[in-house]
Parts: sequence; C-alpha cells; structure tokens
Amino acid sequence: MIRLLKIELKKILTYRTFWVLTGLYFLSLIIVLGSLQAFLDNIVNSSEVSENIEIPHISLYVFPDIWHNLTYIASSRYSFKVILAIIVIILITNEFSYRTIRQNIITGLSRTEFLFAKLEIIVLLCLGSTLILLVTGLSLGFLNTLGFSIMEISGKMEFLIVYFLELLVYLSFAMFIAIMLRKAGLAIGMLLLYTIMEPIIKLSFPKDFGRFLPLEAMNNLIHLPNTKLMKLMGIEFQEYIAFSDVVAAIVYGFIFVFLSWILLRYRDV
Amino acid sequence: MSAILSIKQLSKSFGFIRAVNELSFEVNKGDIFGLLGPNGSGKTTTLGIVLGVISPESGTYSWFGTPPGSKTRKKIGAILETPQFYPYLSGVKNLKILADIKECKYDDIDRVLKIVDLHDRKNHHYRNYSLGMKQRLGIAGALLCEPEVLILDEPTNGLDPQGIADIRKLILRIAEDGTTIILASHLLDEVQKTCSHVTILDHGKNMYSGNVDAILNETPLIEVSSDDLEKLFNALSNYTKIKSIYQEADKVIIMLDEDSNSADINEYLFSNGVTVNHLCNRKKTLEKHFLQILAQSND
Ligand SMILES: Nc1ncnc2c1ncn2[C@@H]1O[C@H](COP(=O)(O)OP(=O)(O)O)[C@@H](O)[C@H]1O
Ligand SMILES: [Mg+2]
Repeated sequence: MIRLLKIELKKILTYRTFWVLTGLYFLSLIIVLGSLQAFLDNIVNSSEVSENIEIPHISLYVFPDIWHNLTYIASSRYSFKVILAIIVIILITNEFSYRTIRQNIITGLSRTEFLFAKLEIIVLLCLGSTLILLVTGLSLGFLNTLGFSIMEISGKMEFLIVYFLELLVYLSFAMFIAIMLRKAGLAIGMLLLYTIMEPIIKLSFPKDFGRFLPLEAMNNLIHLPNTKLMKLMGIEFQEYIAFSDVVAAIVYGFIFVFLSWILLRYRDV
Repeated sequence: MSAILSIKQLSKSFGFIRAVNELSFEVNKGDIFGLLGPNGSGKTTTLGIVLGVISPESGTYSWFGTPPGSKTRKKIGAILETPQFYPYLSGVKNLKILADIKECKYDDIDRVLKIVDLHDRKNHHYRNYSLGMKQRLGIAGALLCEPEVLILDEPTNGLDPQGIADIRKLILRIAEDGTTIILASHLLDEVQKTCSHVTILDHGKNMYSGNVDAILNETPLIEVSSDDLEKLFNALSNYTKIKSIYQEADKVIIMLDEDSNSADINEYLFSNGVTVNHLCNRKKTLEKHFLQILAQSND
C-alpha cells in the first residue's frame, strides 16, 4: 500500500498540469463556499424590492446546517467535482498515451496493483476535498454562529462523511471512463456528455428507476438543504441521509472499480 | 539444463493477422539468445506476451520453471519496442519509479546511468532527451537492479554507429556475468555478432532454432561461374559429391559434401570440358542462411 502510494506520488509530485488543476479546484471551492452567503443575500435583497413580504434573514453558515449547505454545493455534479474528475482522467489516460502502464507492468507491477495505486490517489483527493470543507466549514461557522455548543458544531457532520463517499464513487466513475476510453479528450468528452445527458435519460425511465442512474444516485446522498427560504415557499426537502442512498452509492463504487479491474485484466496494454 | 524461459505453442492474432503462430522455443541460462526476423514477424508480440502485457490466444509460457506473474517480472529487465517514460520527469526520477516497482534500492540508479553514459544528463526532463538518449535511458531501466534476464527489443534503434557498437559491447559484457539475454532484432548482423543462440521467426512461426556457431560452421558454399552457364549447371548437377545446387544471378552456388573441396570441382569441370572463369569459397553468413530459410518457407 505504502509502496504503491510512493510510486504514484512520484508520478505527480512534479507534474505541473496536476498541480495547476488541483490548485484551481481547491481555490475555486474555497472562494465559492466563502461567498455563498453574499450571493444569497444579493438575491434575497433584490427580490425584496418588488415584494412586500418580510423575508427572514437566512444564514447558510450557522452550525450545524452549514455542513449540509456546504457539502450540497461542493458535491453538485455540475460544478467543482468535474475538475477533480478531469484530474483523475488525465492522470490515468496519461499512462496509456505515454504507454507507461506498459513499462510499469513489464517492470513488475500487477494490473491489480496499478488499479489500487490509482485508487489511492483518488482517496487522497477525496480526503483533501473533505478536509478543505471541514476547515472552511469550521471557519465560516465560528464567524457566523453566535453561541455554539460542541453538539451544534458536530451536529450534521455526517454530511462530510457522505460527501467523501459521494466524491469517491464519482471519481471511481471517472476512473472507469478513463480506463475504458484511454484517451483524455475522449474520456473528458464522455464524462461531460453523460453528465448533461443523464437528466434527459432519466426522463425515459420510470420514476423509481431514474433515481438509480449513477450520477443521480450519487447526488441523492445529499439532498437540497431545507432552508427557511424553502419552507417559506412551501417546499420540503429531505434533511437526512437515507440508508438506501448510501447503499446504492457504495454498490456503484464497487461496480466501477470492478469494471475497471475487468478492463485492465483482460485487455492488452 | 534448466530453461529460463519456455514457450509452448504460443499463438496470438490481431484481427486477421496471425502475429504469433504456434511458436515454441526455449531459452537457457546464460544464453545470449537472438530472436531474429524481418519487421512484422512477431518478435515484439512474442516478447509482449512473455512480459505480461499482451494476453496470448492459446499456448503457455513459463519463467524459471514457474507460472508467470508480476513477481517473476521483477527479476527481468526489459525494453519493449520504444522506451516508455514520463516525459515531464527527469531521467533519474523515472528510474526511481522503476526501482520502486522492482522493490530495490536507489543505489543502483547511478551505476546504470553511468553504464549508458547518461549520468550528466540525469536531472534533465525525459522529453528533452534525443532519440538516442531516450533509448539509452530505456536500456538503463532494463539494467536496473541487476536482473537475471535482460530482454532487449531492437535496442540499437535510433542509436548512431558509435552507440550501436557500445550497446553490443555492453551486451557481451553483461552476458559475461552470467545474465541471460534475449535480443530481438531484424538485423542479422547484430544477432550474428552478439548471440550464441538464435530462433528465426517468420510470420510468427519458428523457422529455425539453434546454435549460431553451428550455422556458421556448416560446410562453406562455393561460387562457380562460366561463360556457358547452362553447361556449367548441367555438369555440376551430375556431380555426385554435391549436397545442393542453385543458381544465383550469373553464378552457380553449390554446397559440397564434407570430403570434397573446390580443387576437386575444378578438376571435374575441366575434365568435362567446362571452362571456369570464377571459382571461390563463400563463407556462409547467417544472413545467407537466414534468407535461404525464409526462401524455403515461401515455397
Ligand atoms: N496492437 C496491434 N494491433 C494490430 N496489429 C498488430 C498489433 N501489434 C502487432 N500487430 C501486427 O502483428 C504483426 C507482428 O508485429 P510485431 O510483433 O510488432 O513484429 P516485429 O516486432 O517482429 O516487427 C505485424 O503484422 C503487426 O502489424
Ligand atoms: Mg518489433
């Protein structure tokens, strides 16, 4: 395990593209999460002009709801996550375009080890993202919550764990596409296309099946937060994490890793 | 004798192309084994299979008498076709990755870099290397951690004449330490100058397997020519002490029995009224043997 991590880290430690993209990802994540409140206030204020209804002040950064709010934004399938998936795709397709996977295997790496090495990097990226969310959440929470208890702070922290899981499954999906298509352009195109297409595909499925499409299943882990604003508009959303969604996501994770292994195992490199 | 590599009835097709065709051969400990064949004859595919990157359609192979796997590959150093490295990493970092995979110490890196004369450029990015330097880094990678078997697929590709000579010397020197070497090449000259054993491949088939010396030491061929080539050919065809005879441009080439020599031929032809204007021994090189084997296979 350590040996594989050592090998993978050597491959990326001085790889400029990796650091530029990773830096971009973390930076945009922090900036957007930090300016969410201002963004929301802006919308609320501008709507107040036309309406006479008193809209209560909504704070996104209050413990414990902050964990739900931040993880919801960070795990949106149309935002930051995509950068992370592109990083994973590039790291894996590089091995095929440089044919270094060939040299790795010839030199004595097994295909399973190759897969695990990539998974370790994926886990590292997920841990990094979760850590950023933890730190950002704690900072924003302390700045914006008056009087808090440990109970409040850690109240909804399970959303962080679920966020980690959802990212892990999502990046396994990206890994699978990369191993299947082997070319960065193709794989990134495929990922984006599928991301756009899935909601459309979903329509052609019966309602209960549509929610089991991969991206949908992952996104179902963290539902839209049930803010006071939503309650005001009479909409109720799921505020808890459903066990069945967790199971569905984990099953998808295993499927993607297994399919990747099958492709590696039975195709020539 | 213990076989280092044993290949049995190996086959592999790419679509309609049968790249390797029921191929069998053995490589023994200490051999400098040449895999010789024209381009596209299946050398790289064969080596790719035994190195675990191409899966065979049928047939088996074993290393050191054990079934193949990533553990055995750690005891083998190899370059397959072109060298494959991370272009954005330096030469030395690339070798560190290989050392990590092989689970050996980094101490060996400087040694192999010096062997291929790349030590002073070790911190430069691989992508800035010239073709020859890339090839030499590939060879350094193969030499890393003192493998028991060294596999070199067209190792002199992209090298200048000095580099080619250096590599040949290097191969012979490494072989002296008892390392088994498998050298794939389409250059007969290269195999002839370095190898002790050879398997000749054509269309993925084993055309010939044997000792290089044995081929070279066979009875020499004799070239004969005359103004009247037809008369010469007929006369020689009737000579009893001949193994084989064929015509090549304006010459007749014959292989004599062991107890006969060119003087006998001269005498025989003279007595049959054939005037000879050219008669000489031709040392049979591997190249001619090679071409002959291939010619037979095309019949
Ligand atoms: N990945 C591949 N896809 C299709 N054909 C291939 C592939 N690899 C090799 N071939 C074909 O198989 C034959 C043998 O190729 P190769 O083993 O590279 O020969 P050599 O190394 O002796 O030049 C050639 O006809 C080649 O075109
Ligand atoms: Mg070849």
